[in-house]
Amino acid sequence: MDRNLFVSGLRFQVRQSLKKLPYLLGMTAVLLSLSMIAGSVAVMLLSNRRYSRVTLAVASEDADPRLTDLVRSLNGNPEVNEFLVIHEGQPGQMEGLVESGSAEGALVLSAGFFDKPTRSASPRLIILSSQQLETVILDKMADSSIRMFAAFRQGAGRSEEVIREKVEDPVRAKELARGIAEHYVRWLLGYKQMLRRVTVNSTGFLSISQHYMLSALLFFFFLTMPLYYRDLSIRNEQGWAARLRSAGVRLPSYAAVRVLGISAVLTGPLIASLLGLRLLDGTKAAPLFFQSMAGLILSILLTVLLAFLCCNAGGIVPAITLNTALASVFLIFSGGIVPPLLLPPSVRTLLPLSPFTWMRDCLSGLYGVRGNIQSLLRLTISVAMLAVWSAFRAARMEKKGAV
Amino acid sequence: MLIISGIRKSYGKKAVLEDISLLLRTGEVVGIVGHNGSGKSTFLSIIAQVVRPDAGEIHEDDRSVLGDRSYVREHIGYIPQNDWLLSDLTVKETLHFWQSIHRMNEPVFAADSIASQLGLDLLAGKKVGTLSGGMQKRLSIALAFLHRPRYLLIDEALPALDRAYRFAVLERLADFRDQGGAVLYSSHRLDDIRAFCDRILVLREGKAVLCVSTEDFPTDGETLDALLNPLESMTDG
Repeated sequence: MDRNLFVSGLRFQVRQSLKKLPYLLGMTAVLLSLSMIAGSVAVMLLSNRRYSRVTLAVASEDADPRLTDLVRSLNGNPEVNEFLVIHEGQPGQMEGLVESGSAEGALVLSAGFFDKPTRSASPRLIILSSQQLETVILDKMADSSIRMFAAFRQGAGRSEEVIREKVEDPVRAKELARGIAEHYVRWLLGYKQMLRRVTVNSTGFLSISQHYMLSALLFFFFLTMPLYYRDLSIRNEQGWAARLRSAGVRLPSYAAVRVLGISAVLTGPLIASLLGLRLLDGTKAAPLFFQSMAGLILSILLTVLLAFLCCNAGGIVPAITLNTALASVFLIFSGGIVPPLLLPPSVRTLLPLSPFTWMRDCLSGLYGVRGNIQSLLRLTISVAMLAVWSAFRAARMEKKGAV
Repeated sequence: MLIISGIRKSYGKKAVLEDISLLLRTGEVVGIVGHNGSGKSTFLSIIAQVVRPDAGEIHEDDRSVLGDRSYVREHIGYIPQNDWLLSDLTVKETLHFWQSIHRMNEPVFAADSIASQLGLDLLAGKKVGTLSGGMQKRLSIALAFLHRPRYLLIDEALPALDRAYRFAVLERLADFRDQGGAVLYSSHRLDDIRAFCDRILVLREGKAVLCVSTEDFPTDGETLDALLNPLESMTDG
């Protein structure tokens, strides 16, 4: 196809697509709002530290009153109470509480739990947990608590021995010993005084809201592609393709015009969505123009080319299924749902291989964040490979469908 | 003058066209007749360069034009048997798209345009998918004429049209021939072929069995039987 023909075909395709302007505006609004919501939810969950509190049930096999004191102390501590509510019960109830969902997890303190460390015996903590995410944290908490507790009990036990030696009245001695234990717990829970938190404005990374807003935007943008099924699917247009051949136009060229036309039209909604997100995020940093533009163009091309291949893999149902599956896989493996740090190490190694990671990395220039040059390179190579694959696919369709 | 020589085409082991040659002179209309599956449509689609032949050549004077896309775009107008249109586009959009391919800017519905003559201006805003078979055929014919080609390839186009439009197309074809254009016209209707063509090529099972002037074309049933067997698909009149 010669250049003039290509340009006129492209102009026609763009003009046709622009006829759906209200639809494009609606799409921009939806992309913008869904991405904004995703970013805000992520910030709320991961950064504002406002959690849905976890309920933990505890019991002691020998009904040790010190557990009651400990529970009271912990529930009375706002730092703990922010994310944890502890209920004391009987050991036999614990499994039922976890099973019924009344508690996310339960701890059972074995008999002599509080005294064993002082006798150099190991205290045993029984953890009952469900498969929920919260109980993963419970496991970690219990693990570190038992270590801390063992150390504490050794110290406190030694103090109690000294008190018993020096104080003759056993009631008074017991009160003093409990006082030491409570003092220790209060000191432990008042750790905040020992910490000083300084928040630094990072320029090397996207903030939580930016990370999730961009991830959501790329995901939802990807999901809109089957809406262009009629424009992108050329496998059912063998007749039209044959007619075009009689006018000297080959199917790969026609496919290229369609892909580029739709990409050009979609540039508008994506730019509008990105700028809207930047505005709503209140970013002050100057955008990195070249990186952002390259990221924008390559992201659109990669999305549309993949959609082209999905739309020509079968009918509309395979197109939607494939497109959605790809979008979901890309999102998960880019750390767009579960924060990258919480992903298993095996999955984390795949992060640099997700196209969403590359796209987000390049588009981070919009927030003044310098992206990884490798992401730009990977994105460029992928787009080139997909373009070749699409052309090859179109040529094969032309050959197979020749009348 | 279009010189078509030694065209062969097979699909798998089945030979569809075997060594077909034809000379298409300017100002001439050549009719192609043959029963279903005789290779008429394949022959036309090879000349329109929709299908690549296994062997053969197409020349215009001394220039080889087989595989020359810009030549096809400029000089060939093709009306396929199936209309091959995009159902999502309106009539006007289809004509505009075709104009953009041929880099034309003039109004598609000018008074003397083929589109207006075929009543497409009245259907301008309608989507192709909603048109009847006859309306789609009119659009298909208009597309073939739109860029004023030198050669027209017509594959069974006229029977789908009603009388008024059929007459308009025949009139337009006569003008086209008078202005030096050449037409290769395939049809089942022998009356159309006889009335309109200067020469007739008979295809039978992919082979050219006769190519004579219309005056010399046999008229008696027995000879036609022998030529075109099976004859059931042919209707005389």
